[in-house]
Amino acid sequence: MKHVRIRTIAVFAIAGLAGALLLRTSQSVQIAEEKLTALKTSVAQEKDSIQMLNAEWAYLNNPERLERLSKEYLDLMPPQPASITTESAAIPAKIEELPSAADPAVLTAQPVSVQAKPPATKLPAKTSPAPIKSKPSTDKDFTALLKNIQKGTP
Amino acid sequence: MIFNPQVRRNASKLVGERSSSFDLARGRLVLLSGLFVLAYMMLAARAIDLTLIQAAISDNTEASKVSEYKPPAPVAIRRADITDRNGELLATTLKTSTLYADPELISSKKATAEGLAKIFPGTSYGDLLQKLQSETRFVRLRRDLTPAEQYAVLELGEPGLAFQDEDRRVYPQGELTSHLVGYSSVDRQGLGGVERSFNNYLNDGDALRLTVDIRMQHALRRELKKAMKDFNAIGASGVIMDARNGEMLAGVSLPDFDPNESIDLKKENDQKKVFNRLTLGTYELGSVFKIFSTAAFLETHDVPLSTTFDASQPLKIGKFKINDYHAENRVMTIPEIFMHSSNIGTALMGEATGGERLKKFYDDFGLLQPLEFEIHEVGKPQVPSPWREINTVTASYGHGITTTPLQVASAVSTIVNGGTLVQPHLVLNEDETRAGDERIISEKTAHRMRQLMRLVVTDGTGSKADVEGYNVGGKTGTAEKNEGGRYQKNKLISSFVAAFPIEDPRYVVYIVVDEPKGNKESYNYATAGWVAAPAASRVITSMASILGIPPEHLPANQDLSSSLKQYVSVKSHE
Repeated sequence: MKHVRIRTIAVFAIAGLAGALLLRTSQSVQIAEEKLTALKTSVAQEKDSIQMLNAEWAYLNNPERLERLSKEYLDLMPPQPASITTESAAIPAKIEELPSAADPAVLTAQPVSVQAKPPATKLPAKTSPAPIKSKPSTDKDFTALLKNIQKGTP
Repeated sequence: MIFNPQVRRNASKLVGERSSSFDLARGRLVLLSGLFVLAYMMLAARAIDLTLIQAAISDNTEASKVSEYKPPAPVAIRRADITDRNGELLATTLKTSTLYADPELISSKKATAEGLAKIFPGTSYGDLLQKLQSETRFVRLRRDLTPAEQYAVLELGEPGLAFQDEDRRVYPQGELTSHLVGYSSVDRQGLGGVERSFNNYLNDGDALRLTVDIRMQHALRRELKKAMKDFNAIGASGVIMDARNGEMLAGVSLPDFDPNESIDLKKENDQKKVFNRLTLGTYELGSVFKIFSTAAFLETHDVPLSTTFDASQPLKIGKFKINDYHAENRVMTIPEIFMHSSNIGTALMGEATGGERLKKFYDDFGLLQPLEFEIHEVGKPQVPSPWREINTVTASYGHGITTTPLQVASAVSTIVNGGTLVQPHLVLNEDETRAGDERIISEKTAHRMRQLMRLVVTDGTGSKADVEGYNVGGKTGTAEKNEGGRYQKNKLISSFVAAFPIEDPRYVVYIVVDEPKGNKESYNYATAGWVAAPAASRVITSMASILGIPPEHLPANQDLSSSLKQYVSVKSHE
């Protein structure tokens, strides 16, 4: 009879253990599923925002706008055929006097005596940088574009 | 229970019926109690699960956010993107949100209306309040919210406000590719361009890549706009084509439209803008046709280029009289006829070729049938029927026959690339090799045509198209518009077709300007040489820097047209 009781206890123990394992597994599956759902949702959201950013990037990089901005803010001229050369001889030689990186002696830091510096004199009045010419920008921003797309629907 | 094992053993030793029924009863008892124990254990486990484990999960912030999400509904396929050959976005679909309200759920309508009015500067508090006070359970407040606006609305924390996702087609390049890409309706239906012809393909989620390069597209559009403005024209169209495989690198029709804005085809103004002058409009394009008739003549008559035709007298066919615009009034060689664009000389060549054969060549070049092209807006050429002698004569210099500008550009590509047929196309397919193997004219004729086209630019009517180092060849075409059966002297279509570098042309540029008016700089001329040729030159200049083509400066005696100079009398045209 003794061995029967031991066996019964063992069976109950195993059943209990199996139940616990089952619970654990089902729990972990549930957690994993929730995580998966969350990830799927956030992937979808990321995709949406990538799409949005791509559209904005394309809008901001459209050639007409870039051309207008470069005319407004840069001193560059549109390249002409005359500004393209195919002869390497026509390109000016490199300036020789510049210290070459191959000669480390030139590049070693030299101690600078603090005394050598003139006493702090009154700094020249700061000249304010030339104000950047800014015309009122005719640039619609991207959100404005989106708004304009569906005019008249409040 | 009997606790003495001896007794139990004895009891178990009971024999017969009694013993077996006792065993049965005990077994049942054990089984039953076991089940009860198991059931209670499960209940206990579940209780632990709900109270301790689930609670612990809910404490985890990430997981708590998770539990608020519903499993995502199966995502509807979004209408796919359209890009240019370099992957620049031309059309895309964005998810936008529509804000709506359930007025019954809104506690403080005034506060909500106030909050919303602050978020959307264009709206008035009164309007919003009125909407929120309506009796229905669904009020649409605003479409196409940006993510920032949506966030601001969520910040209000009003349970009666909710969002609905909608798809919106967006064209980041605006007007730039309007006629090629087309436009679409709010319910995902393409209404023009590839949006229309690839409607189902795009709706199935397959992205489309065009052969267009937006940088060249922009350069072409800019120069067409400039030509239109400078010469006060009513319209213009242009195309840049790869002469080797027919890929359309740029295609513009002006005036154009912004596909992001709603287009109402009932309005005449919108109709004009949507009309595609490049592929749908058919025009009498004039002297550019001399390229085809001269090629047909040289192909059918193996004569030296020094052959002369008498262009000293206007040509009379029945009641018609053919004059020269750039009148030379003398006997001319073939190169002279071509460079001065003599109608009389070309008409004589056309007659020598013969009506049937000329028509056959035009058909082989693809000028008489509607083009097979990837968009639906394709015009049908008008061909005289029956084809009389006068039609042969006028067709040889591009009158009495209409085609679309795109057909002219592809026919010129066919000639300059060595004589094999070029089919224009708009959708990029890198796997497919479209190298033409259908020969229309011989290599020899093709070479002679390139020489003649170069001569037009070095010494003839197209001198303003030249770009130093890029060896442009081309042909001018100034046609009077036919209105009500009469040719209008002051309503012209001025066009110029260019190919470069002419030694082995890679690119063909065709520029058409509709009804230009002469200005001070052009000495009141509105002809192709003054209107379209300079525009072509500027387009080629831009293309050179966009594509990084190095210039090639050839000495004068190596120029392709140099061998033709001997046939040209010293008197220069300009």
